Amino acid sequence: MAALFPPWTNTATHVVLGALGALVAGALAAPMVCARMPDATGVGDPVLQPIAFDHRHHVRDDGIDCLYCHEGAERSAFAGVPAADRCMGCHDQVWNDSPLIAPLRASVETGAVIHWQRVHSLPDFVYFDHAVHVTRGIGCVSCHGRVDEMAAVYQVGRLTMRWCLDCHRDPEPRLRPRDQITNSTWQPDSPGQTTALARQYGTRRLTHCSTCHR
Amino acid sequence: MPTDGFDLEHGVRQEALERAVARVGHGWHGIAALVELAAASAWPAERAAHEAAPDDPGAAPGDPALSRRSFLQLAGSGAAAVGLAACSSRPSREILPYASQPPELTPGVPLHYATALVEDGFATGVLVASHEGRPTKVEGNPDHPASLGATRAIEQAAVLQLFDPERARLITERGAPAPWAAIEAVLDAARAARGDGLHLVLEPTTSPIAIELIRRVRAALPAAGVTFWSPFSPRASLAGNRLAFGRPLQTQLELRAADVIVALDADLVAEHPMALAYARQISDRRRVVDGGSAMSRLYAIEAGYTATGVIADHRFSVRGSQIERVAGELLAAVLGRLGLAGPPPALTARLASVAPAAERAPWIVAIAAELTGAPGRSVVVAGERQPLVVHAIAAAINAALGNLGRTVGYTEPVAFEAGQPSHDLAGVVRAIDRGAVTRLLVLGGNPVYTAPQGVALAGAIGRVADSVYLGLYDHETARACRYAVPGLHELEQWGAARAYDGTLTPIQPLIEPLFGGRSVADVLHRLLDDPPADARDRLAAAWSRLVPDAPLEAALGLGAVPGTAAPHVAVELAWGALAPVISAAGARSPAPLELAIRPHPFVHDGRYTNNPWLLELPEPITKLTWDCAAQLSPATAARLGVADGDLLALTVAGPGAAGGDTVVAAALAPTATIELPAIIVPGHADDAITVHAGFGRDGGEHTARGIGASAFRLWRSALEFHPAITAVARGDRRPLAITQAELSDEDRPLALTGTLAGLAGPAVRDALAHHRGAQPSLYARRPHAPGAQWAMSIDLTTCTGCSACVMACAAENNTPVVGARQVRNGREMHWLRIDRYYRGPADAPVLAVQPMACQHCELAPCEYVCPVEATTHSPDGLNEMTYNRCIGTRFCSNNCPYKVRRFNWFDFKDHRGLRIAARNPDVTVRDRGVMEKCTYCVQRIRRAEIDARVADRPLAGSDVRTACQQVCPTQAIAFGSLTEVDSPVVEHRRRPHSYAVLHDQGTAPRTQYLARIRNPNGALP
Repeated sequence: MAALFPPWTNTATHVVLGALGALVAGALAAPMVCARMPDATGVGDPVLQPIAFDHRHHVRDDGIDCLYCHEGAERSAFAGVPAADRCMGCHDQVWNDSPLIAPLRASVETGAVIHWQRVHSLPDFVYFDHAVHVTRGIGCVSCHGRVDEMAAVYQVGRLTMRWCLDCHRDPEPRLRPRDQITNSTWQPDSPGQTTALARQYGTRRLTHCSTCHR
Repeated sequence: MPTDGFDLEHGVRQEALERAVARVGHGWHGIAALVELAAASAWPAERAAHEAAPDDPGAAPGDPALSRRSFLQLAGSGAAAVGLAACSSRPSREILPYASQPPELTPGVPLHYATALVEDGFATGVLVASHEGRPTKVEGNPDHPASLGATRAIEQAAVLQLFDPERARLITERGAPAPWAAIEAVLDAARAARGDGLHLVLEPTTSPIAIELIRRVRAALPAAGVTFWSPFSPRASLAGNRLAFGRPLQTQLELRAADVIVALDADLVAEHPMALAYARQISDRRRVVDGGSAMSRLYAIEAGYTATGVIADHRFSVRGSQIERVAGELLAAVLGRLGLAGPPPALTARLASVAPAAERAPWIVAIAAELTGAPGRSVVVAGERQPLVVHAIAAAINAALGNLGRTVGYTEPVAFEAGQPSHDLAGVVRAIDRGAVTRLLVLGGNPVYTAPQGVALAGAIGRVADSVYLGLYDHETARACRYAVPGLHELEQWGAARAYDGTLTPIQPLIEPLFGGRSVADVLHRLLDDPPADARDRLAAAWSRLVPDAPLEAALGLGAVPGTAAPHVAVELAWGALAPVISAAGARSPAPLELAIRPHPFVHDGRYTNNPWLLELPEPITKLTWDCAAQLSPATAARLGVADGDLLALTVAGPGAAGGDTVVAAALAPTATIELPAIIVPGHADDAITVHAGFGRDGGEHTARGIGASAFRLWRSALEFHPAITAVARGDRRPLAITQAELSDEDRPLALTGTLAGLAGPAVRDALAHHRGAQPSLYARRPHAPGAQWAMSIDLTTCTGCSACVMACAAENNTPVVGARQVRNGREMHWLRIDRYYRGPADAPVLAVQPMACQHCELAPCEYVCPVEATTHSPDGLNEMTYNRCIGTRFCSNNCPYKVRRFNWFDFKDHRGLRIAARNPDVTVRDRGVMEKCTYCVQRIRRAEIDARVADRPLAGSDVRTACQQVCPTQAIAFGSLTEVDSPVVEHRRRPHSYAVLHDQGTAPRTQYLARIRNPNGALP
């Protein structure tokens, strides 16, 4: 009697089982991979704003410090977007009749808020605090990239948990002196400088869950 | 299936599908469009199923009414919809900065404002946190004498009432929208008539600004009548003091000076306008460090179990109507021991013949001996639900003991005209019946609901041509009046009030009025035709006129004006007037069954019944939520043949059987009956039933409506207490939503109790030592990381079970409300619960209360069993719960010996509507299927850490206060770091009666307790 299962069925079984396994693994992995793709994280996707605000001009050309407008970064969890009257502090003197800032003038006149579009958005179960990062030697550029070279701001960091943990597990190389926080181009003089800074700041590796999740 | 119809729908559906598909671009828009697509494809199938079902109930599967194709469409789209429902909605992607940012504000940093919350006219100073102009959390004001940094549960829930979507929003005339001009016309006509036919019904007020306004109204409109009404404002104490001293006076206590306190049906630590201060004063004298600590002695003589009874060293249950007899016996015993010459001979002779009833002779004698042993250092207090004579006797005993001026003082009433005829609601009805009222202004309160049965206010209002109600809700009174005007919440208005001790307190708003609305002052100013002005300017002008010595700005900063407490007045006991009253005390023979009506500890007189937080907060003794019950003793329940939940028909007898303390003005309804489920309270006095007021609401407040029945329907007149009632078992029952049904701890070492004398001896100390220290464990104990190591200690001696901590926890941590049905299923979500256990004999049990939340075990059983590491341990000793990791296996809850973990069985959180504005933005709002529990307020810990690091200073354990610790009136909760050797929490752990619950489990909990130590009188059994 001929064998019910000829020898090739062994191979076929292996192939089918392997394919099924790959399918299951793929089904599990695919959403995880997808969630980390730029499409999902939003990395590199410039966000259009109701006012064509150009950071290149304000930061690089005019030399306005980040903290002049994002003043909450040193004191609050949120860096904040400046109130319209902060913008008007300069713009009622310069470019005050430019059609580009018509929404700004309307906001100051009527009190209507400007609907700025969020570039960096963390999930609601994540509690990030700007103040403690900024005052402990993490520069703006570490997370936000070269905003001074962006026309429309886009996200540089992936803002995934892994991305946060990469730094939280080894914060030392990202440290900088407090007076260089807003400097986009600062580099350490020597490898030992950040080690000294870590000692000065008392930098800790905070990786327990309630550091961010509360 | 009608095919032509399907084709038509198919065309529409096709359009919808195409629209949706066009929108499936990328990101969240795509998801939204997919939901739309699923809905579009589900449409005809659902329609088909709907259409088929009613016409053809017998249709079998495969019947043309539901084709296989439709079924598969339905199933497929259903599956897609379920899958998509799992995705949370698209988060907000906008940042909306201020157009002009207020200089004091940094987005993300909350501001705190000092203001006051007012009840029955008396202010409790609070500090309210405001996130970008949104009030989120109420804390006590440490600088305010009626708060001392603590609040009750009611104040904690104030923000939810502010954001109550069921508040009145429109001016209405008989339910239809009306213009403000209509109200103005009424006010103008009243003014034109010089107040003729006008009557005002206000809540009692203590505000000098409001008082000035009322005086101006009286001067400008001399014919107008003014009545003040609040059902539970102090009344009996004022009238009793009038009896004793010849004029209505307010009793002020200084309980720190009292070695012996006798509470005659007086819930000093929970029900009094000064309860927070009195709770602190009593507990300051009862903090046990070791067996040698000095401790005051507290006697509670009461019918129902109260918070004061919980902390008392001796509690004697006596039905309310018999307490005047007890008071008389106590007076006789005290005077007998003192041999005082003060009372007239007739009274002395009468008292000499008073012998205590045999069953209470031992303790009356013992208490009298204690009192006379501590002259000037003792106090006898009568409760507001006791007749005047008990207050007068208490005053007489205090006078005899020389306590006046030491532990007891008297001030003129703080509330305007308190104790005078203008506080009699029956006067309003009499005036209406005379035809003297054509315009009635009811400004605040809910008198139609809270009026005693003898005051037929609802019908009377109907006979008034123009009646206007101003208040927060469309409730019974608003509906009885012709016009209803939305009022202002206390967090929306400017004003002032005095605390019970007279301290002046400014009130400032936290937010613009949410629904427009007008304050009482607005209406009175309009009535006087004052020019329109800003409310703050008006307050500032009046303040500088009336309180010239204390600038308003400074007062607003502090939340109180120091040194404005009412001065104590010299008093002379009028023995002559007292003698006949005291002689007659307790002469009445008790009825077979009597009723006591008390304000509910959380909804008070019904003004807070529409607040779901307060409804779901378990009543401290019965643990009942979302309901109102007839509390009765086990023996009385057996006599009536009822068990927990059996419905009782309670009927109060008509006027023929009345034996009250005052003449009832209007005719009583012959009988009134309400139906309530019975609930058995061990330790309740026999032959008496206690019912909490505030339920049985019948207005437009949907949350409150239809819960329980109103005790006010059995209330015959304002100064009549403990009427005879009949109770008949109805034969049916209603399941009660109780969070702790078991009464006993089954002899497990949970809430340990002991006596002060026992603590001094080695036996008890050694026994307690078995409940702390190291335990063998299979698991390796983690070494403590450097830095803070958080721990908590709860003193069960001073814990009154008042539940303010439970409410504060819910307010701080966004714990959801689940409703009565889910509470019955054991699914309440409070992170902190207060367990209560009865000990001792069934007729005189001792209640032990124990706050129980996550114990933050160092060797936490929950952590070992979590398959996804959603619950882990932090280096600073917290048992962390990471919601976004939790997959809802509930293994952790299964393995928790303390049963403190809560699971979101359903999506309990509010999704839309105003109430979400009360949420704390620093705490994640949990979703369905996620476990949660006490975090030691980790958001406050991390905030303190960040603040310390930003300010470049070391973190101190005292920088962090948990919500429960901060609110506790008796400061029973200590929290801090174990690494600071002089911190309160470490000091607590060194005390001999510090112990860990379920210590034998080897969980090494970070929360430890101080055993409940009583200081019983050795002369009593």
